[in-house]
Amino acid sequence: MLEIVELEGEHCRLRFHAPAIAESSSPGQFVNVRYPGEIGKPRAFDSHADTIEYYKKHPAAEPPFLLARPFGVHRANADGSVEIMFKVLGRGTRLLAEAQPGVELDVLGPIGNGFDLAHPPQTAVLVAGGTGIAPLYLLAERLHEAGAELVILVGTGYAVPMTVSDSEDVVHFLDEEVTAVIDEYVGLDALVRIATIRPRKGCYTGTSVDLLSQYLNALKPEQRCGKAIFSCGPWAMQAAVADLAAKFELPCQVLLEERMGCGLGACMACVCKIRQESGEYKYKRVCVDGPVFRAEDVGWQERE
Amino acid sequence: MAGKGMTEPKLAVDLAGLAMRNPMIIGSGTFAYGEEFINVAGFKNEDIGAITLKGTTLEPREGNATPRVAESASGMLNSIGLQNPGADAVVRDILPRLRVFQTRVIANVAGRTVEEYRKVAKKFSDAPEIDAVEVNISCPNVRRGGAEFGTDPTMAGEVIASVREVCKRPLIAKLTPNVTDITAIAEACIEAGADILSLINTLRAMVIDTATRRPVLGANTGGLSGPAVKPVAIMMVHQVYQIAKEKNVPVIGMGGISTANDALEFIIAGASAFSVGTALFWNPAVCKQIISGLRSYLIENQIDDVSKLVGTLKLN
Repeated sequence: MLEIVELEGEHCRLRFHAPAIAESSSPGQFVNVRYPGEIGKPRAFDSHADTIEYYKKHPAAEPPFLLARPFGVHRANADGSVEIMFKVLGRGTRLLAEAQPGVELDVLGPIGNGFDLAHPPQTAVLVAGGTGIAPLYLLAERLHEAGAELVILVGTGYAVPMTVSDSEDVVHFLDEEVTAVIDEYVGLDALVRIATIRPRKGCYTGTSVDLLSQYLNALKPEQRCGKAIFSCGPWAMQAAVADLAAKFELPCQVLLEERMGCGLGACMACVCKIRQESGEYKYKRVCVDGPVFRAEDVGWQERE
Repeated sequence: MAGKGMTEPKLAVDLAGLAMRNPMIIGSGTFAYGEEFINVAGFKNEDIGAITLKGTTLEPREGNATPRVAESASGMLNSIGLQNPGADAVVRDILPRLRVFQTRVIANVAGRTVEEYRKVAKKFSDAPEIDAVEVNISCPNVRRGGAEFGTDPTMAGEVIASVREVCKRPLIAKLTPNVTDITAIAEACIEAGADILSLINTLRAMVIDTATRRPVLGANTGGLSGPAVKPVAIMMVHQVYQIAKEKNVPVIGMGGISTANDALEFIIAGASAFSVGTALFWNPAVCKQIISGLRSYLIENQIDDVSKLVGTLKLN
């Protein structure tokens, strides 16, 4: 592990040295990361609340942590380092957030089938919900290199784990006070806009799906040509993105998230209903059959 | 490390005709059909005595709703629901792709009726790629109100006896720990013709999300595996070994093995071979580490054959 940077809203960006992974990662692929931590010594507690509080502060004192956690590759750098970005949500991410530079992490990757970039579109519309923003950076970078124009629409609760600044440009599909952009993406010549659920200065109050809807509705039918959507985020958000893509007849690839066991395709835990050539929906493994699927193949209604 | 005059210890074992280069097997359900780990750095089929294929039923099975996996202290729960493409598809499409020259292959058979077990077992037993057939008797019997075959000596015996009639390969009965007296089930399986006993399957378990007050697993309950179950498994192997050794039936021990020392505990308790499963999920290089640790232990203790360590437990 090389570096950990705390970002707003309990997000972290973690960088580690893994030249083989850096060299071979393609956008949408993920790495399985595990930091088992140090096993703490037993101690006495005054109350149950005290116990909970202690373990919150010292997750490493809990019994050994077994399974790795999957993270989309955020950046794959020429210096052989790889970056992931995550929000501290549970024990696995808490342990990772407390890891210090210099420790050894267990990392397996790159895993899965990334985005299909065989025929990059003229304009790529990238839609991110929450930490779905993380894997889209590598995608944006590669699409930019391939000459695609980028439109990047990000939605979060409030926090944005990248560099937010104000832009002077006005976009035609939004009110003129929606000016906040993300510098990292502006660096890729992207048109960027942010939506937040809780009102935030310069951001659209709403979701990334609202942004996408307004963007698409403002397009003339002939402007749809040469555009494609790439999406990553929570299930409900991506289901709505898939609906919009179908309505506007745009190709759309979605990067799915699911709770995983092995990350190698062996345990069959991370399945999702995917339409087969026969038209029938079957469970496929998100880790190795995905994690990127064509939006129209995902059984959005099939999930219980 | 080797003592003076100490030769390389013998790791090869032969369990009722299942001859393996070492006593380490990959447990069913943690390895799919043997193709997923081949490209993972640190993993090699050649390090392993045998692999066990995923539990297979007669018809394809879709499996359970997600989430199918949850983590707990030193363990994990799964409720995959036997997702598999059905015995015919496995025998026709998957078995010919297996690199059978690299290691031994054990099929794992599941079913909802005695006839289903028998049919699936026959298909695998007749396949040239298969070296042994393991019968997972932890499945619910639809003809008996869903009670698990493996929790009742009579039902367990019926399944094994029926499979025995059609199975030409060494027959392994895989026992469930979710019983009051595992030795009664073990005896019934030996009586019905099992050549080998393997144990333990996972322990029934539940994890609750306190925020939603719902079970984490889509199927509500699942099977607990990982280091958390190891002491339970060790005790049951010890119990079953007392019966099995009288009948010369070897035992395959499993449950939470993640180090060489864990494997040694099982061998000392009475296991002639052992399976690794969940540990592979966080450490694909675990097999190599276990075999190397096992070898060192034998050399340090001047034991020239791993078989001589089996069941050498000294009770207090």
